[in-house]
Amino acid sequence: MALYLTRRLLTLIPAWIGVTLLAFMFVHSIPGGPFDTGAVRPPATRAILESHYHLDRSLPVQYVLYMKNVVTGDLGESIVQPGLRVSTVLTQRFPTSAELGGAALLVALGIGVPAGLLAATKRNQLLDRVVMVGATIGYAIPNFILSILFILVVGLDLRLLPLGGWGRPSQVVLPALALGLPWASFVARLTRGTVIGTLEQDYIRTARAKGAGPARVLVQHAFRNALMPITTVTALLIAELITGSLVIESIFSIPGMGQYLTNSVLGSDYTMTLGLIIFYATLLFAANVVVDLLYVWLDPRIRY
Amino acid sequence: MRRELLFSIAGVLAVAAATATTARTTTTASGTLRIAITGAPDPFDPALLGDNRSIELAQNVYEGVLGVNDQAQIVPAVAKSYTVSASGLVYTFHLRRNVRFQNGDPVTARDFAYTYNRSLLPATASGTSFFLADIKGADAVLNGKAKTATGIKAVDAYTLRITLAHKAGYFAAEISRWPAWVVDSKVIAKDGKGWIAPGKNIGSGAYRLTGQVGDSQYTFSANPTYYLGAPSVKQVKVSAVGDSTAAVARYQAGEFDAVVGLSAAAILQVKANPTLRSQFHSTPIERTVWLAMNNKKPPFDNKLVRQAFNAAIDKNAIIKIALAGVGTPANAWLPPGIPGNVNAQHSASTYDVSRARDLLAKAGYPGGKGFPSVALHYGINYGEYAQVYELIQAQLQKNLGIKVGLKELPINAFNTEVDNKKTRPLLWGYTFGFDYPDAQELTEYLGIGSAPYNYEGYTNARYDALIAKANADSNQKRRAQLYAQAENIRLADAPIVPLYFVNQNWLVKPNVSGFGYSPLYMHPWRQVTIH
Repeated sequence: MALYLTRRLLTLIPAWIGVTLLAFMFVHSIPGGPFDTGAVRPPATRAILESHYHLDRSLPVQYVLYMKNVVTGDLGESIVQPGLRVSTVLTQRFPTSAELGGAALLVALGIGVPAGLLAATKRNQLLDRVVMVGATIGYAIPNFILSILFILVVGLDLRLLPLGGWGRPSQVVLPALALGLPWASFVARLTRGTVIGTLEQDYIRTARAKGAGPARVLVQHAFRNALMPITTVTALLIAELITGSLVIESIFSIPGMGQYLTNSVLGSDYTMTLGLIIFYATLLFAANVVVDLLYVWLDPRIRY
Repeated sequence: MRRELLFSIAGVLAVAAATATTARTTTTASGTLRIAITGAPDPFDPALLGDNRSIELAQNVYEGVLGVNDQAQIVPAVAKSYTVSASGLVYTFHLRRNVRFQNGDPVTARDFAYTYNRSLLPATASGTSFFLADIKGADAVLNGKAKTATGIKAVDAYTLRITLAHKAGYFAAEISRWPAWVVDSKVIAKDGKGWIAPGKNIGSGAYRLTGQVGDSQYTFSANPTYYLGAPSVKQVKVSAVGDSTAAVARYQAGEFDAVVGLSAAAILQVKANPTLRSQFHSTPIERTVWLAMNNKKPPFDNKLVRQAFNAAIDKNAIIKIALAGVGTPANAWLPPGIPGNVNAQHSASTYDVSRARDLLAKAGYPGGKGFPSVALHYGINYGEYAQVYELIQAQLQKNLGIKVGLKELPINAFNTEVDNKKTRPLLWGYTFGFDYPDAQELTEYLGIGSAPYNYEGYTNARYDALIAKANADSNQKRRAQLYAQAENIRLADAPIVPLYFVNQNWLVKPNVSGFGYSPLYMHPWRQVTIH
């Protein structure tokens, strides 16, 4: 196990360097640099700025200069918003996106898993049909439509919850639902499918034959095995949800990462875009390692 | 994709706004003004400011020797008066003696000298250091050869003498702007780059940045020792929102006292609701949008073609349809409010379809026959831009029989394309907003033959000579006349199609007075009162 972990972490190093290199090449291949915003300035001023940010150097030199800072933990400063440190953006905006993404994940799993289990046990009965039709509709409605419906009905008409903004717990509810519900539908379908598949296995029949009740069979025997694909999807969902949602953040005026990342890419803010990508890559690498370790706990057959 | 999406969202919200009749009454905390702006502002270091939404917040925290009033005129600020030598080269500023930084330090001529040199230093990396580049010795500082410019001198604690390298009649306008807003050297020496954090951040203005949540919530508190007296509004809370249509809904719910920077979509939403409509305001700002033509290449090297395009485009229709009715038709390049503008002289609409067709026929393309294939390029900038160019496309087809393609690019990619001679399109949409209220900025950087951003390739020796003369003159009245003369020469050559002057649009509750926009920026908050 310890050996596996060490080996796993060591292989991550070249992967991580590869990500930084790809990201670097990617941001520099976008047409238009950070000073092509249309702001009028004499060529001499532009030259001073380019030299300040090393943009007058060759790309390999720029990469080395940049990575030198990164490995010491310094992600640098925005080129487009001078004075704004990448670390500041991360500490200010990432918690927001993580909070929203976490809440949406709770919605996705908290609604999706029980609904899927329920549907699986009542297979082909009315309840199953209702849940599955609901899930299909839920998955088919884009989250921005859902957001608008929430704003109109819950926010403007009923005035139950705030229309947007961030900072109070009540402001988390609508965007988390809008972001999480389509995924809840997805998780419900997935759970139903895998649980039904598991319930047909021989060992379930054995468990039943040994006298285990339906609830015990479902939760202890079937669900535990069904957890494998759900765990895999959850890991992907975490990546999907915490990187921030441009649409949801725009509609609900949430100061998260989604808008910021989009704007920094569009504005060719090299240091900012790279810093954010490297941060996320590191985070997702870590999440993958955690999921690998979870597999061991979930499935005793897996040994590293 | 995002634009269409937000448009559709705006459409639905517009319906909501129109039907929401149960709007709550405002519950303003006494003495607090709550403003929603679109997009997060930059850090508040005056040397590094760049975009308007940051500048119009920071102008409440910092001040220069001179300032700009609500009519976009240059007026004394920290200086109570100033003189210009007969040569036009030496500016002497006499500072008020009762101005203090918000930490109690007196504001002296030495602080201004420090501020100017700091903005010029390459290590500061100010994108607008060129506002101070006309000062003698500024070049040496910009090139890293000197730490201080020889032309900046604190004669005594309250007298600042600036010597210019050459005559520059626009210098007073330049020095009224942010790279010249005074900062406290002691504060910067103590806190380094961290000095811009709320609480540490020190200026000499009427408000101080006292709180910040992430980069979406800013609290500014009134400076009780401000030299013109403590402001009436004790606290200003600024919320940076992602989308102005959503901000309007929250304004309706009583969360904000004012929303600025409304998009065309948000304005439609506002106009659908009688209450909102009565709280809606709009005023022209000093920004021109025009259709640029590559004067160096056929078919636009032919003046008749350029004139035909000028007569074929219905600017009123653009404003009505694409801009939700807010904007001013542009019949000149310099916007109203900039000395030397001649828009009023050309106020009769230039839209004349039969004249446009005649001109095009004379140019050799009767009914558009034989006209080369042309694509109109534009940057994805504001939501409404695409609609503007779609309308122009339709008008050229209908009025001249010319089929024009459209190409939309991300703004930085678009600017790179236009900047490169090899990829420069034949026809493109372009815009310029003034940083300081002087015709020199637009004409010197975009107008004259040698201008770095003269992408149209327009050259006229008479125009260039008049601009050079106007730039050097220090008599403001004479300068305005020279710019006007030059502008008329340029308009007769029709290098571009001026489209419209942009309006700033905002909502403000009826119990707030003094809030609004000047042609350049938001009114200073010290002018605001809440009833």
